[in-house]
Amino acid sequence: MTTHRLSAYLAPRRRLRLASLLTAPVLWLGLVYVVALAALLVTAFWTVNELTGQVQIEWTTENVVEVLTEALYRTVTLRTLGIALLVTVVDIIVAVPVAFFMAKVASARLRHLLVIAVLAPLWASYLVKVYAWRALLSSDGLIEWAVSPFGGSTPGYGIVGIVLTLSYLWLPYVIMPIYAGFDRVPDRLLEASADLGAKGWRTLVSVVLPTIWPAIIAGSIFAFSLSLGDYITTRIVGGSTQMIGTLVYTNVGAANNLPLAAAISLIPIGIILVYLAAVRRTGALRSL
Amino acid sequence: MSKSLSRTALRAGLASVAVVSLAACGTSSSDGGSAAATELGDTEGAVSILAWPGYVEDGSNDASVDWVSGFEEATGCMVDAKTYGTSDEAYQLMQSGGYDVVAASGDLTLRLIAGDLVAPVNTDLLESYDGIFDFLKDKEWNSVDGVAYGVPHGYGANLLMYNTDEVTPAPTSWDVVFDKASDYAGKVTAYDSPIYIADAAVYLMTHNPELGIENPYALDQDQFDAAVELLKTQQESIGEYWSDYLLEIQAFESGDSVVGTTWQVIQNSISTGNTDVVLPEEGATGWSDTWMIASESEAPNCAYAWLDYIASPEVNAQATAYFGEAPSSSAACDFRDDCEAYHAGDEEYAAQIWYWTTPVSDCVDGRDDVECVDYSEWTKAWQEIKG
Amino acid sequence: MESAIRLRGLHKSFGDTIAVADLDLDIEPGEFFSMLGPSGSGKTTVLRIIAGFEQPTRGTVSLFGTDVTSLPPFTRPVNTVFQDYALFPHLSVIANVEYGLRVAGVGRKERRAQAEEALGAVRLAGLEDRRPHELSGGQRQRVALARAIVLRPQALLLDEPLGALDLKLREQMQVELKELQRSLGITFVFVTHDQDEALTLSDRVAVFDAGEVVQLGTPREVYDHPRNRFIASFVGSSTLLEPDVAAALGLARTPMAVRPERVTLAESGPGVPGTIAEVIYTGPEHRIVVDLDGLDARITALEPNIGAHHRRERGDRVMVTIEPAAAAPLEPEAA
Repeated sequence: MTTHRLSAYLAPRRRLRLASLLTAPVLWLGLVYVVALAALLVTAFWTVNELTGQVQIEWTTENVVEVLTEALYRTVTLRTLGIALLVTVVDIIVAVPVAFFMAKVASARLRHLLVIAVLAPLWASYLVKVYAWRALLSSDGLIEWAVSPFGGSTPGYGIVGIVLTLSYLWLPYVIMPIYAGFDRVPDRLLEASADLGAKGWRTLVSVVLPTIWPAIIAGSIFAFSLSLGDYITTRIVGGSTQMIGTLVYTNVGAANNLPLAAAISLIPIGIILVYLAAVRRTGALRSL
Repeated sequence: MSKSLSRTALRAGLASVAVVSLAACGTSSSDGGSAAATELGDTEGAVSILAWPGYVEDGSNDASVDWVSGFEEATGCMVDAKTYGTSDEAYQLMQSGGYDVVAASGDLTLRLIAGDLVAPVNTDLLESYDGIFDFLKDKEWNSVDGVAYGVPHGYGANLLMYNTDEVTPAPTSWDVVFDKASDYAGKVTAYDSPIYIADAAVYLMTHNPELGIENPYALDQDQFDAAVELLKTQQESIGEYWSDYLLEIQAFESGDSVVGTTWQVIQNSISTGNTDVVLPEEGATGWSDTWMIASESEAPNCAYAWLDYIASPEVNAQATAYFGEAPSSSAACDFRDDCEAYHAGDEEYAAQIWYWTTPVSDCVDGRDDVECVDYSEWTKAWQEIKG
Repeated sequence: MESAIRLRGLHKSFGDTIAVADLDLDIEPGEFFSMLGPSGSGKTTVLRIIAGFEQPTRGTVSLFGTDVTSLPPFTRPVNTVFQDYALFPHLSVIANVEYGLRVAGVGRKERRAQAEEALGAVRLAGLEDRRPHELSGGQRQRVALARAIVLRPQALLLDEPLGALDLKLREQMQVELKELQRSLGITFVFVTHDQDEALTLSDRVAVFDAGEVVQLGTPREVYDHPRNRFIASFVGSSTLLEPDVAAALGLARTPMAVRPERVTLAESGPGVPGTIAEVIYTGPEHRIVVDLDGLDARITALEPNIGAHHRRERGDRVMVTIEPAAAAPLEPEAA
């Protein structure tokens, strides 16, 4: 068929056109992502031969049951959840004033410089940044040097170190959506609020925050989900701390127990689904 | 309308692909035992080696430390080396494939053999094999039913390293990291692998003899639980566990860690000059390594060439001296002057080190009235210890 | 009686651009005051300065005797109705209207009652729980109005509030605004570029050009007696007559502006002869453009469309007369 006849054939057949356009991306999404993920997760219901380490298709729920009942997984899950929430809160607290300044206060030129400054760290490799934090947190590092004259000391490697590092890493991803959100708040609304008698703080709470709420949620999704699954940062600055990612990693590696690792992976997936469902109810996703 | 069409299409597509891929997934059943090579051919031009850090040095870490270049010139096999931090990591890497040669400790060798990831080695094809100390050959970790699976490399102990300024007087016992660990709370380090449980067992052999531990890799449930308890107490004082030796170097140099297990090569690498090592009186775990050839190797001739080369006296001396372990080649001591310190060739001393070996439920100390805790339980317990 | 709003020496410049130039203005209590002018003439800037959204570079603003020049908007006893309404999108209609009351700490019942009263005054009862995006333009406009008047400001500032509405709705709102102002009795300051609107609604009009008030007066004064060419052509339409043409038509020998409806055309009789060049039908009227003989000038006349016997055609010969009192002498152009 010549191109002309092909396009003439397709022109009235809207569904066929749509289907053929969608095939490639759907196949990619389906095969590469969804099916691969499903294949990985289905191993949670299989077993592993202990000596050879090969995965065997013997259906069992013992891995999932173990993950749901053993105290270790409960402890690590709660700890990881706590860290992820803390990182999210810290990032939002830092991001909101910075984004507000960038969107509403800074001159056009300064705004461009600030956007570049916020995005610049993304050019550096993840590992470089985490190792940099390891050096900062070390007992002869920069933080110790800065606080010891005041009687303080570096938090060292541990949960505090993890929260600091993860907050630093994800901050650009939180600032940018909130900045975009602020940008979309018309100045008129701020003037109207002032005109009707509201002082600065009141305007922020009653007008600005509700309007940028979807943007804050969008930023929080980044910080929360990225922290939930992280295991590299915890290895490098976490001292002896274990997070969910650590357990998955050690089960894939040290224990060579892929089914158990897959079962553990179900935990963060479950948490994220619950989180997204909650976010959806607030209507934030609609506005994105 | 078109939305439901694409949704149905999506579902159908996913379902069919899922069925196909799950059906295709599965264990490839492996029949046992690849055969050893019977003769050598031309070298292939490249060889990929997986080893502990410090085993395959080409001058990039320290310009004066290089035995790879000589090999490459002599054989034409260009070396691509990858280092690993724990035997478990190495096992995973071997599973994903792509390596021709692997230097494996005793807790890895049997797993590799059982998983058919390494092939038997025809030692007749290696000139250097005769020069290896006999007491290292045909051990339970490097041979099966008299068939050799590799060439012994050096052996050594996991030592206690301490910061000479912070830990005084100089320690002679492992108690500084166990019963007295709280003196150094937050600055104690330990090896991040389940095999470290054996170190706790070694400590209990001296300090709690009523437990009756004969071999730290053969622990029945009670003995195992005691070791785990000891480690859970230790965890409270741990600053961080290490598996990447570079991180341990950095931690000791900065003072974040002041006491813990180490390898000699780490002590040799620390530049701040305020650390020292000791083999404590309770004894220690250690390793006896074997060079093995991958069963799926695409460069078997280069692999054999490497095994021959690294086992030759002068190279063996260089490599083991750098890492800080005793050599496996009997003539290596002609090229080293520290053989005494490492008890090279001392069969009795070598017998005192508890070499890493994979714990299995058939107790390796020979008891058949109890079941010993196997490695997968060690791994689970290790995660619980870290908390 | 003291002025509701008094501006003295008000000057605002943005960098090198002068938006408002040394303005003195008094707005009386209870009057419907319009500020009329083209875009960029400074009228909106003056309004924003009165509201408190801009700070003047020089000069003072007084509201009911108090100098408020440096006070922020939330302290001033005036409220603004914005051009794009500026309704809070996340709040319902009633919550929008209640917003100012809530900030002021008024209790829930009282708040609700006053808000509903305000919505009733703008004829928007029954839509309390809708969101702004669910309303039409006209409805949003009324909400903005209600939100402002519920706080009983001493003066209401309106920034081109009817600009986004279609013609019919605009005319209807104009009537309602006038009635509202009369019933509330408060000062309205109304900014517009639509001269029809200004003339229809206002008690007094200030015509702005390039940051200055070029004429201030009642609608009749400004329309019948425009002071210069700009006002004559901006406010309503006029024919601008050069001195010699004016003289030929029996007027004083000076630049004159004459409104089309004051130009009389006759088939014969006294006057200046001319030929009809264009006849434009506008529904209720005809605009007739006449080329004046020998004067190289055109004049526009407006005649009501009341029947066949006044049908004019291109090419018709007519006699043009103007009542002298109907023409406005213009100030000489500034050099």
